[in-house]
Amino acid sequence: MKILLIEDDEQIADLVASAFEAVGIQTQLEKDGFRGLRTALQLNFDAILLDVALPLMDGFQVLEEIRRNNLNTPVIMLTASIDLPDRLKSFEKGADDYLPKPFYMEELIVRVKAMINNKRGKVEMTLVQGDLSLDRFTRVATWQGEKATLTQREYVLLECLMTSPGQIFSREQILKQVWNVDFDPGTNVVDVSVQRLRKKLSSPSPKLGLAFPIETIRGVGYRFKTQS
Amino acid sequence: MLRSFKLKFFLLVTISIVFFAIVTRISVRYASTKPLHEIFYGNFASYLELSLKDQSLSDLNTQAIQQKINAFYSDLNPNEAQVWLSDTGNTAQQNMLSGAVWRNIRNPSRTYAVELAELRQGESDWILFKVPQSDQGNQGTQDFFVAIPARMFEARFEDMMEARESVVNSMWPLLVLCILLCTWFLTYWVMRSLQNLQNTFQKIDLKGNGNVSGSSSSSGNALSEKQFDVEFASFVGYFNSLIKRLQLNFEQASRFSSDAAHELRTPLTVIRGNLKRLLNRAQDNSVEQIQLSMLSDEVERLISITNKLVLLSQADGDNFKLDLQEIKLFDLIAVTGEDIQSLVPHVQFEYSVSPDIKLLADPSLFQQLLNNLVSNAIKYTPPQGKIKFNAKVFGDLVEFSLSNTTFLSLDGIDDRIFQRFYRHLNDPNIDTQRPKGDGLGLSLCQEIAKAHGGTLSLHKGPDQWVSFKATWQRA
Repeated sequence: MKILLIEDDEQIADLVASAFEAVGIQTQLEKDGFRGLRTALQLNFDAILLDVALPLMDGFQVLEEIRRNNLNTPVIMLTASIDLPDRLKSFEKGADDYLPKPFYMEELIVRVKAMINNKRGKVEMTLVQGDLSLDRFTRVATWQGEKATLTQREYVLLECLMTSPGQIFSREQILKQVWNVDFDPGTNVVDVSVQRLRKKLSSPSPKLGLAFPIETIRGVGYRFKTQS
Repeated sequence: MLRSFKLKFFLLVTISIVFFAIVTRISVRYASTKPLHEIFYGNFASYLELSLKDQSLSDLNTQAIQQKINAFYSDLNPNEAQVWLSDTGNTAQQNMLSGAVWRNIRNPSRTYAVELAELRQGESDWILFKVPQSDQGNQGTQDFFVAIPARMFEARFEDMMEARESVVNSMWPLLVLCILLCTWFLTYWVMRSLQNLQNTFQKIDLKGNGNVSGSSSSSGNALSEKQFDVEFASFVGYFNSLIKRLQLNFEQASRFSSDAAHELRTPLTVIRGNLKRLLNRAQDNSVEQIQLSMLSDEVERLISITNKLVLLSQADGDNFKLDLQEIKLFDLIAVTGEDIQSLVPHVQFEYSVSPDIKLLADPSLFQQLLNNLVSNAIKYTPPQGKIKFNAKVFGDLVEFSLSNTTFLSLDGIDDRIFQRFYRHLNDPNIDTQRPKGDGLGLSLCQEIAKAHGGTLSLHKGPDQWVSFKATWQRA
């Protein structure tokens, strides 16, 4: 898989490129709208990440040209604006997705993957990481043959950790992403929920050497263990 | 009541008119004494001239004239008025003449041959008339004198004044009515100009547009100076320039925070990304990892503040773009209830919402409002405290409230909590160790409610209850 990144900010380009590399996706970088458009039209990519504020040609113009040339490569717009008009404009001009800065790299990767799969006609109904699978529609998680239906919050929590294996999430971050609160309520709700997840999925006869993949990082938070 | 300009103006005009009437009456009363007396003297002089006309000195019967005068002034004592010729007067009469200062009768319309003197003889005042009487015969010229007690004229003068008084008194009710009518008309007329100004001012909206969808331009607010009286025109001009400056400041301020927040986004993305990368690479359970995690949390907080600032600056510029949808309050509250139970299990949560209540709101903004209110309630509810949510329909509106018991003392809590970055810090019950909010949440809640045409207000109840009450449009 190969994606084109059109972004003038070097730091962000570097971050995005290394994040994609870490999951095995190649990136090519162009630093202005004009070159970006030329490269997009010349070479084949699975997806294009397009910044809005670009030198020479802005992102919307590039997008317009891409679509005018009948190029159907999925495009995700990256922008510093969270305003509705900008979002609408992106979709009107033919963008497939829209991500306002500051975004989570993990989220970007998940969205790019989902978009590519969509284009290929695959909808990821089930999220699978090693022995653990999570059904996105029935909210049923399966681990080593043990099935459990998860509550809404448990599901979001597990999905959040599973989609970014190897990434550490602090308790505060989990609170924000799962419960939508940006303060510490002073209770151990995150720990309790993770405990409950583990309990729900604990197998009466676990395979030797295989622990439940959510790891506790002491003093920090939780991480979904990468399965090697 | 005295702050009413209308009333003050009414009273002032009434008092002025009454004062004017009183002053006029007093001054007429006193100023008219002399001219009126002169008229009486003139009348009498005419009478004398007429009586003595064509009478030669030889046939002059002073006795007869005296009787005539006594008859004319019926209230005179017999022979009190005296009449004599210059060479026939007795001693008393001659004494009278010696003290007399002669002058003409002051009447602008005619001149009299008769001269007059005012004098005091013994106990009484006299008015002395001198009529020069000539004779074609040999006896030459003699003066004819008539002395009338001054009280005769006084009495007639008083009679006249009394008559005038009674006429004026009969006019009072009419006068009062006139005063009231004049005042009412004046007040109405002055107030009309002010009312006009007030009505126009009421239409001014500082933010340039007041409606939720927001499409009008900011220049539409200037008042036309020609619409007003000249005296108000300069005032309106000044007001216009003030409004213009205010709007400019407003726009700049709201643009500034929006631009600043946008500029922060790119570096924040970089910081967040790099911190995450470092955190994931750090050795598990190392001090470094914990520190990086803390830093990462701070960055998240910064991002959250930036997002709120962008929303607030949009609210200031009335640039909230609302994607209005029907929202089922019951579903949202049910989920919120579960969250509260899991976040703070020791707090009791109750709610009473009819399942058919639907609101018209932007889903993400409404969710944010609810989250902020709930977060606030959770933060300040003590263990074993209570949180309550109620919603009711009133016609086209839904009124809902989120209430909680709190450990804060209610004294210092007031509408300031809706101010940006306001912190209720003085309370000794606040645990300084606990992370506090950014001071933007409630302010944002209020702006979100306003943008939807609703309201959000704070209410304090007994037993440490605090509640936030909102009114919202029904779907």
